[in-house]
Amino acid sequence: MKKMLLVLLIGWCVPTPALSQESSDYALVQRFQATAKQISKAIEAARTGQECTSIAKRIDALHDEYQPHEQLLDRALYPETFTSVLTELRSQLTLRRGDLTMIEKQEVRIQELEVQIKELANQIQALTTQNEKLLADVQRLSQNVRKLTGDLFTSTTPVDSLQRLIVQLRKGLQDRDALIKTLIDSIFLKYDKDVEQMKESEKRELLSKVERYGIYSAIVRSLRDNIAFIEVTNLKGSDAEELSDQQARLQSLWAGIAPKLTALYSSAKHKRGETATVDSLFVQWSLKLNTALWRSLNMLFRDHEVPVIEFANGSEFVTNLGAYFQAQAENRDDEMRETRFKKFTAFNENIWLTELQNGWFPTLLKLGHITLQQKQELEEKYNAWRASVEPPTTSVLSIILILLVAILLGALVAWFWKQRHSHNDE
Amino acid sequence: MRGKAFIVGIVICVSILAGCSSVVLKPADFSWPIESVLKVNEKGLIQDQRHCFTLNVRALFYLETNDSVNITVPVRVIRDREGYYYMTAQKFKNVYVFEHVEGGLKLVNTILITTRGLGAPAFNQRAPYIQLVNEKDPPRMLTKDGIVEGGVQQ
Repeated sequence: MKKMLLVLLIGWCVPTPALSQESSDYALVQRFQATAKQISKAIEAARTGQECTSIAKRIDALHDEYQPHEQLLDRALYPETFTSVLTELRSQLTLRRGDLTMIEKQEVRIQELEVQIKELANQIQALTTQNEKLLADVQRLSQNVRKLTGDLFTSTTPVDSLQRLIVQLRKGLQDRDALIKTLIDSIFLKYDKDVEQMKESEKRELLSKVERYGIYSAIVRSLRDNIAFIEVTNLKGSDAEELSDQQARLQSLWAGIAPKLTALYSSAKHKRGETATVDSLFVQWSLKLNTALWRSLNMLFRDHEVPVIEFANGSEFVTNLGAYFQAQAENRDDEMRETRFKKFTAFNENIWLTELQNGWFPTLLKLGHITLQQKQELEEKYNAWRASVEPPTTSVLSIILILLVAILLGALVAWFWKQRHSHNDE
Repeated sequence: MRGKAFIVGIVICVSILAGCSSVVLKPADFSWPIESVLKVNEKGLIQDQRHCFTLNVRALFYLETNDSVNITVPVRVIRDREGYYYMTAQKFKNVYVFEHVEGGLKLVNTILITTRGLGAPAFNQRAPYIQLVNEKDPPRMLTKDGIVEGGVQQ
């Protein structure tokens, strides 16, 4: 027992090489820097709040482990210090926590968007089916109206039905376009960067969504239906403007996603032609809209039996309508005063004020088919026509006035006569 | 007359000597907080970014190993408070003490540490000494003149 105690005492008193071992300051500094670097990388790689909490503990541990060497580290790390390194790590962690919170919020938003996208796709499908039926009905009714003559067509009901259907169809098309826009926005919101900068996995994901929700076919369908709609309907000035705006909105939407779709389809040969198809449909829509616009305006004059020579563009419209005004002002047909007045009044009330001034002129100006100067030119000629016509000489008003005066005189005479007789009787 | 000339001569000499005496700025501390561990490039140069110097160490390796070409280990350098440089490397038996001279370092002392060669040497600044640690060996306290604590290991 004594021997054992002696050995223990010697062991305690005499420092062994292992006990007296001192480490290298250089190695200590290197370890500190390496650990700080590892923590920094861990912060960059952190994906959850839990990971951030664990990293915060590592920073605290680093602090506790190396605080006894703070003086050495301050000198060795110059111009940095032990405290500045730890502060930097903590700031980096705080920033990362903020980023993660934002990312988590965005992920929630993306999940919500996914649900919204599915709902939108279903709504678009339902509207497409409804629009298909409406379009078929409109086409059928239009053909009937064309076949029937005025004599046989005793009731206005079919025409009213057609108008109602057209209004419904137009609303359906507009609603579907709005849904397509929302769907596209929802899908592409997550992928706001260029396709070239996307990872392969992101590209595959986006392409799969575009195909799953039929983005391309929805746009093509919308364009074809809009073209078919224009072919079967007559427009008013405000309609033309509305349709033109609708086309501009869809075209702007397409311009936004076309480069992305082109880049996505660049690897798929069979898809390359699809974007070109959409472009050609837009051109077709634009041409059809233009044709429908002039067709409808010509129809306006024809329906009111105003013999304006047919026109197919803005210049022709100004020239031909101007020529009509001039002919009326000069009274080339040598018409009676009353007939001219009646003709002007009808034109003024049924076409000039209601259709042209309030509908077609603003549309034609906005779409750039006529200039303000051309409109003023037409107004001048129209005013010349107005100045040349006069109301009939014996107006209804004067006849009414004469009658009123006669009645008044009759009443006065009767009153005097009655007064006189009553005096004589007394 | 001769005495006067002698005194004037003495005064002139003293004045000249006083003018020539060098100014010494004291006290100074040139110590580095930690050693620098510097790789030797193919030209035999070490570069210390922190202390901004470049040095050719081929002669040092030749002195230690008689080979100035196959240099594979980094040089460990530290400077003491007085400004002397201490250098060694793995497998070296000695620590070399240098002082700064114009355009280079001049060897002032070679301190034998172990005839077996150092396994994993490292310098620590322990002013006024430089501490040398090597694996499980007891640490040695060095000055430019030699080992103060520890001793030569066979």
